[in-house]
This record gives sequence, structure tokens and C-alpha cells, in this order.
Amino acid sequence: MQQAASTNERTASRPRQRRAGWGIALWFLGICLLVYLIGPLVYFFFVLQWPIVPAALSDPEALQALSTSLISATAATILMGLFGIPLGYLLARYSFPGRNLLNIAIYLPLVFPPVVSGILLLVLYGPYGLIGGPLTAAGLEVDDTTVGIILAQIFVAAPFVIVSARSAFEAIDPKLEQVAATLGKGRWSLFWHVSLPLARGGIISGLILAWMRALGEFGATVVMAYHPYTLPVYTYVQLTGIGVPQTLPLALYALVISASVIGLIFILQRAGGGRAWL
Amino acid sequence: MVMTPRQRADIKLQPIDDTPLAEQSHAEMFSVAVRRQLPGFLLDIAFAVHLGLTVFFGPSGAGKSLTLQTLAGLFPADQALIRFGEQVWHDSAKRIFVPAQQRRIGYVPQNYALFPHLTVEQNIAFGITASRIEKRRRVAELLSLMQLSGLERQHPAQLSGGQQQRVALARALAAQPQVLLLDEPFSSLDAPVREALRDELRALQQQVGIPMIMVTHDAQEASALADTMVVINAGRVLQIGSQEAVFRSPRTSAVAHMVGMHTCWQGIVTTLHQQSDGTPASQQMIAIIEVAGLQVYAHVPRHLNMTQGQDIEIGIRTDEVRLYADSPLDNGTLRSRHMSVAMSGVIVREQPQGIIYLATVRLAGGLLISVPVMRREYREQAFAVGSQVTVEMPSDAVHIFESPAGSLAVE
Repeated sequence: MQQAASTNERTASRPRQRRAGWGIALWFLGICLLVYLIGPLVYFFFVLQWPIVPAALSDPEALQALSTSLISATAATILMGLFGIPLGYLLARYSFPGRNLLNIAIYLPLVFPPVVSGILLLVLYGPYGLIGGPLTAAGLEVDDTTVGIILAQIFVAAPFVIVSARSAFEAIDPKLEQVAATLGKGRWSLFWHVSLPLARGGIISGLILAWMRALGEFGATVVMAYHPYTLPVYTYVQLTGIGVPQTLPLALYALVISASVIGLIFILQRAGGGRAWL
Repeated sequence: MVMTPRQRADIKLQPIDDTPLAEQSHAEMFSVAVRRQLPGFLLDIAFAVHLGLTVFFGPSGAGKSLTLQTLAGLFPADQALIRFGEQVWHDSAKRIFVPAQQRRIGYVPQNYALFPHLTVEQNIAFGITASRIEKRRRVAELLSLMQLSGLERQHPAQLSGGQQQRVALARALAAQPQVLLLDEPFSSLDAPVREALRDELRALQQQVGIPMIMVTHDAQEASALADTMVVINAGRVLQIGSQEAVFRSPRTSAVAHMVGMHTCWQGIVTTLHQQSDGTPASQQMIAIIEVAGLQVYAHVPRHLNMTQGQDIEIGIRTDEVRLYADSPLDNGTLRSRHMSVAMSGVIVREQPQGIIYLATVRLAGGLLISVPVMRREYREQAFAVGSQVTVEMPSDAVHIFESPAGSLAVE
């Protein structure tokens, strides 16, 4: 009896020790990365020269850059939604030759170095490009305009919209659309009343991600449209022109926007019944 | 029994009516012929049924749901001729195809496919195209008909399986369809709920008077509900008929096994004789069939041609077979007056099944037969494994299949 009890103890304590080692490893490795990620953010508030902040933030050029960024990213997001959601639906619901290839191709802008993307865009849409040439001749320059910025942002951020819309549509039971059809609903009607509402969560998360990506876009934008300055380009210009201390206040803009977006997603998720969107 | 493709091709399907399809009035008929080649599966279904409650019966993977979806216009066939009453829904030869939206059908898929983002009320109202007042009136009517009052503002996820099924039915009925197509409507429900809803569905069908086609793999469900059964397996229709006809007289041993007639024997026709009490209508062909050294009587169905010495396959309607504890008769004795045969055997297995016992008896020739015996009778006769019993098999218990081993001609 006693012997049995001690065996029990031994077998019980062994896994506990092992589990303890497991826990320590998890926490240690996790915290290492967390410290590395959060460290710069925290330190930023210590090195920031607070007295120069108001002047730096209210600088007209900075405000102009901020508004250019917000406007272009928002316009780009609307366009990505308009064209990307249907493409996502197409990829999710229809099979056609080249579909698999297309499914891979939409990831390309994500893995391209952004500068390369910018160069590719410039070659086609720039003043000497196949499409940009005639446009320029007609007085509609694309490069170094807000249109150029939007094109660059769409190029790098569209995969977020397409992929998330596709997954959201794929997750819908096709039976729901079939039933809607037997209830007399045509394709448009069932898309509006069934498919789109059910995919809403995934699509919104894709649009938010795309908006954030567009807002922070630098590489492709700087090649395609150096002017008008977006916030990232302006920040880079300041950094190379004036120096680190004077550039630091601009990071506050990025911080405030990022924090608000994360907060917004959190609120939307609550409202959407706790469905994970990101 | 595994059928070769050639044997399958030999089976000619008879419509319920004996008149050729073309001459029949289409007004009250649903006639369907569809064909679609899928990877590794050929769907080749043809049947014509009177409207009412039709059940597609068969194992899973038989093609029942695909057939239902084809009728709904959701699964296109390569070749098809689908007629519902006077309407032509699909005629591939004439390039007529009426899309699902215009067929006016109520489709209830397996697991119901309720719109998860809509309330019960909104789900039901989804297919109604009418003024707001009319819409509200019809939703209220259906809510009370389907006993869903009080659940208007709930979402499907908050409902029980039975409630979900009622909402799905209400949603389908709301669009005032001309036929309801139900795919395994009871499969995801618990047994008590299932039986209650089965009765409700039957009542609803009589109340609303709408034709229904239902898919099921459950023989009990099929027999409880079907006016007409369409037996489907491996993409083919094996038999069409009333549930009475299918359960009592399956055409082949394949159908027999599907409807629970598991005792199927090979035999030889030794004697054929006419029996009559004077009137031509009462003329009956009686066959004496030898099976593993035993002899049994059988009525020969009118549409079968039979010759002496022919190999045939028979199925035993074990509910017609009786067991007696004493064995007063000689082995294999024919009691020709009642056209019953008595044979002796030993109970080798007993399986309690609810209110009956299934007693498996080994007969003299080594044949096995499983006979259902009411529990009370089983107890009173003191049956047990090892008991000597007499098996009385009347001619009504013996059913001759139409195509055993391909040797029997179908008229």
C-alpha cells in the first residue's frame, strides 16, 4: 500500500517538474522578444525632447504630409475594396483556368521589396512608361502626384484585401447561397444580402490592415511619388536633413494613429460578437 | 450482391402506372431523367412519380442529395429532362433550363443552412416578395403554424436542432413554393425529437397540401413517411413504388438488404402449377422452390416468366414466419392445403431488440434465418439458444426476386 503510494507520488511529481521546465522556457523566450519589441517604444518617450514637440507637430509641412497620407491611404483603401472584394469572391467561388496561379500571384506584392515595386510601377506609369507616357502627354502626370502615391499604396497593400476577402467568402457555407437562390434571389441580391454580410468581419479586418499598410508605405511611394510628401517620406526627409532629435516628434503621429486603429479593431471585435478578425 | 454494369442495364424501370410515360397526363407527375458524369461516379437517375410525399431512399453516397440538388436547379446535369407537372424545368435536348430562382421550390438542405446573421423572423421573411404588411402577416402566420412564436428575434445559433428545422421549413414555405425538397431533414436530431417532427411533417404535408420530396437513408423514416419510395444506390434508381411494395416486394436482393430483408437464398424452381378457384382473376402461379435440400412455396408475381429448373433468388419476409417450440411435423413436410412449409431447426443466436427478440435459427440444410418474435411470446414459449423449434413458412413469406444472377427475364 505504502509502496504504491510512493510510486504514485513519484509518477505524479515527475511530469510536474517537466512542466515547470516547459513553463520557464516559454516565458523566458516570449519575454525576450517582448522586451525587444516594446523597448524602443518605451525608450522613445525618455529621449523625446518634449519642448520641441508642439512646434514640430504643428509645422505646416508636417501637417500637410499627415493629411496627404491620410487622404491617399483612405482613397487607396476605398479603391482596394471596390476592386479587391469582387476579386476575392471570384477566387473563392469560381474555378477557372489559371486560378491557382492567380492565387499565388496575389501574394507577390507582399514579398517584393517595396522599392522594387516602386521601380516596376515607375517603368509602366512614369513619364516614359507605356501608360504613363500618353498620360503625361495629355497633361495627366501620375508620378509625383497624389495619384502616384495612391497607385503605389494599392500595389503593396491590395493583397491584404484580396486574401482576407477570399478567405471570408470561402468560409461561408455555399449551401446558404444555394438556399437564397431557391428563395428567388438573383446573384446580386444574394451577394448583398447573404455573402457580403457574412464576410463582413473578414473584409473589414482586411481593409483596416490594408489602410495601415498604405499609411506606412515608404519604399514604393518614394520611388513613384517623392512629392507630395507623405508622412513616412517627410519623416525620412527630416531625418536625413535635420537629424534624429527633430524627427522624433513625428513618430508621435504614427503612434497615435496605430494605437487608435488597434483600439478601433478591439471595439469592432467586441461589437461583432468576439469573432477574431485579425 | 454486387451487380455488374450489364446486369444493371438489364433492369428496366417501370413507372407506377403501366401506361407509357408519353401518354400519361403530366399534370400530376414529376418526371425526371438526369445524367451527369462525375469523377468516379455516374449519376444516372430516371423516375416518374405522382405528386405527394416522395422519399429518395438509399445509403449515403448513393446520389440522393445530388439528385435533389439537380431538381432544385443547383447542380447542373449533363443531360436532363425534368418535368414538374406541365412545366419543363430542364430539357437539355431543347436547351431549356429554368434556373433555381424561377422553379418556385422550397429547398431545405441537410443542417438547414439558416442565415446565421439574420433573426428567425428575417430568415422566414427572406424569400417573401410582397408589401411590408403582407410580409409581416405571412411571417406571423408561419410562426404560429410552425410553433415558433416567441422566437422571432432569436438568431439561429440560439435555437435547438428541432427549432432550427422548423425555421428552415417555415422559410421554405414562406416563398409559397410548388414543391418542398428536404435533404435528410431529421438526421441531426435526437430520436424523440425526430419522431415528433416526422409526425409533424406528415401532418404539415396534409395540412398545406404541398408535394414533398425527401431524402433519407433511414428505412424506418422512409416507411413512415413515403407515399412513393424511389430506391437509389450507386447513382441509379433500383426500384420505385409504394413503401408497402418496396418493403414487401423488393425487386432485387440489393434492395432487399437496404430495406432490412436480410434472409436471401438461392434456389431452383422444381414445380410450377396454376391455382385457381374458377375465375380467371384468381389464377395464381405457385412455385415450389428447392433451397439447400428444403422446399418452400411461393406465389409467382404476374409479371415474371418462370420455367421449371430455373435458378432463382428468394427473400424471406421473416415477419410472416412463425416459430413453435414443439416440433410435431416431419422435417420438410409440405402442408399443401395452406401452402405452408414446416421445418425443424435450432435457435443458435438471440438478439433482444426493443420489444422483439430476433431469433436466428439454423435449419436442417444448414441455412440460417433470423425471425422476429415478440418478447412475450419468446418468454412464454421458453425459447433460448439451443431450443429445438419448428419454423412455419407460409408462401406469403417467400418473395421471388426479379433478377437473380441475371437469369430471370423481366416482362
